[in-house]
Amino acid sequence: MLDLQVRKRLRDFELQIALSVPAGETLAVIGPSGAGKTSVLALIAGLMTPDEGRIVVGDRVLFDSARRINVPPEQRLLGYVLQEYALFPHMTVLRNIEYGMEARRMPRDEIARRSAETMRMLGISHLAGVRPTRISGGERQRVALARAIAAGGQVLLLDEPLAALDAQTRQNARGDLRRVIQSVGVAAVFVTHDYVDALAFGDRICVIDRGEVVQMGSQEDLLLRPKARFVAEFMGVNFLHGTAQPPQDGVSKVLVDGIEVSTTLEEPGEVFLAFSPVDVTLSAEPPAGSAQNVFRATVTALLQLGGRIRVDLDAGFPLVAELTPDSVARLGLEIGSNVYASFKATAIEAYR
Amino acid sequence: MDGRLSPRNAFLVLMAALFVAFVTVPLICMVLGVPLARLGRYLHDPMVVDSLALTLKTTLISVPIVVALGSPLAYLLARREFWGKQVLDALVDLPMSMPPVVMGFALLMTFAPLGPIGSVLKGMGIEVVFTTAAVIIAQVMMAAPLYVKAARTGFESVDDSLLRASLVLGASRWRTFLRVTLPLSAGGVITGVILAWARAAGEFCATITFAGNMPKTTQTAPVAVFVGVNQDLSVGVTLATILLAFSFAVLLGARILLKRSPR
Repeated sequence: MLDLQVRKRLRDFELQIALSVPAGETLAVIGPSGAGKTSVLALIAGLMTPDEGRIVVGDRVLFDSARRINVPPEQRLLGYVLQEYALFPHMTVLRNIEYGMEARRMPRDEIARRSAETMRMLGISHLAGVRPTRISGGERQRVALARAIAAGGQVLLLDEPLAALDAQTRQNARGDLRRVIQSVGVAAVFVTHDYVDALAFGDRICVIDRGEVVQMGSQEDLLLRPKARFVAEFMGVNFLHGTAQPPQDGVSKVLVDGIEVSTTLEEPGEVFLAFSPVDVTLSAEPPAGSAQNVFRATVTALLQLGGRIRVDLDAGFPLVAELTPDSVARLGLEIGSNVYASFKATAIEAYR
Repeated sequence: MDGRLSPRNAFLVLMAALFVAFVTVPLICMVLGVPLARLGRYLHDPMVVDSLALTLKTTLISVPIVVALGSPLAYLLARREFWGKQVLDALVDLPMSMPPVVMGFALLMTFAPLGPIGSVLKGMGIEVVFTTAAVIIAQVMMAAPLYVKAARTGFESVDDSLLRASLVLGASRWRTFLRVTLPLSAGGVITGVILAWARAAGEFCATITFAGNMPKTTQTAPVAVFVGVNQDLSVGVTLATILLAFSFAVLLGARILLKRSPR
């Protein structure tokens, strides 16, 4: 169990964060670069000292400004996968993994047992005698994870553990990493700028920007009910903010920047609308189906995301669709293509 | 661009060859002056033997002092930001940019029986000027900047994130230094030791100014070369050639060693 509530003046803004992660749960901290994500981990690890606040792991108080407690980083006993992994280049994989346990003066036979066990779990036993400079990115990531968990801390901090990997490796590593985090049962804090990672890992997701928590909640909360365009953009969902008109025939029009969007909303007034890119259909001709919302749109960007392609559109307002590569090929989509974008009123989550 | 020499590099190669000639031709001319026929006798000349022994003895003391005093400073300069760092940096370079005779003179003023430190030491019955201790002090002063600069470069080359990783894994600062910083900056530190040793062994001007030229106590090899050239050219040339061979062997050996050490 990790509990933290800290305030720290950084160069450009003040970081102010409070969060709590139970054992066995992963909190994904997501935000743009420079939002203070790494600083959150540095504060927990003791590499940075909060101006004020409290950090507690289980029943151990690591930091408490009121009681003047500040446990130095080498005594905090946390697992930390640093950005780019920071493996010791002059030691073999095995020596890297043993390093933390040796520093904590574990008995020799226990060190041997734990490192063998951890390497087996991560499938890197065959790399024991190799130096980290000679292994692939995906292997390095697993070595870094092994090094962080081998000593057995109750908290695991991960700073962009997948960012250094290429797309293919990343896909596999994501699954493996998730499985390992779950099996060791620690309280994990996972920092990323990629919403796909955040969705894959976070039991809960904390969106931060300029040091402040913009929204914290479950995947569903953030996907279906983003509280700000910033969150919606980060989560890759469509987000509109407008005024609902009184409903007619079960359908109410919401005015968004002079454009009308049909929803199933019942109460008039100011609303947020969110809908998934998967629910947006693109076609070359005006669609014949039952979608109430049809807009002429221009493709502004195409982005491969795993097995799907994310299409950014300008429909008078920003719109995102997610298609299979087949559909993209069939429509002959490229930047500047003009298409019809449609989505059903029932696909829209409307909330205040 | 595969890094190999090509005819397009002709100008560079020519200029490099000029440089090499500039360095080697005088040294070859000197070596040619070695009295090969009577070499055995000169190798046993007390001036040659004593001065080499004294050089070895003094540098074996001065270089460890340089390392002990210079390493913390090099580490601070490499890894910490603090007020007055620029000034400190300039101070470190100072002995290297001054004429050595000036540094020797400064030491003389300091340690002379009437100087600020010399008078205190004299009260304690310690004489420094014109003793072996003075030789060592002069060597430390002239060699330390080279060590500090090289060791600093070595310490700077260690990625900060590795030190953070070590701390977070539970290693104390001292353990982190021994297990991570030092092995990874070994190249810079060893280079520094070699440069410092070469500079200390070759120290002449500050030594002769501050420590004088007394056989067995202050007449190191470079001083003996100078004196020898004036008395018996062959002694000077023999000694100079031995110094040259030794320096070259050490520098070359160090390079091979550093290239082989895994990083």
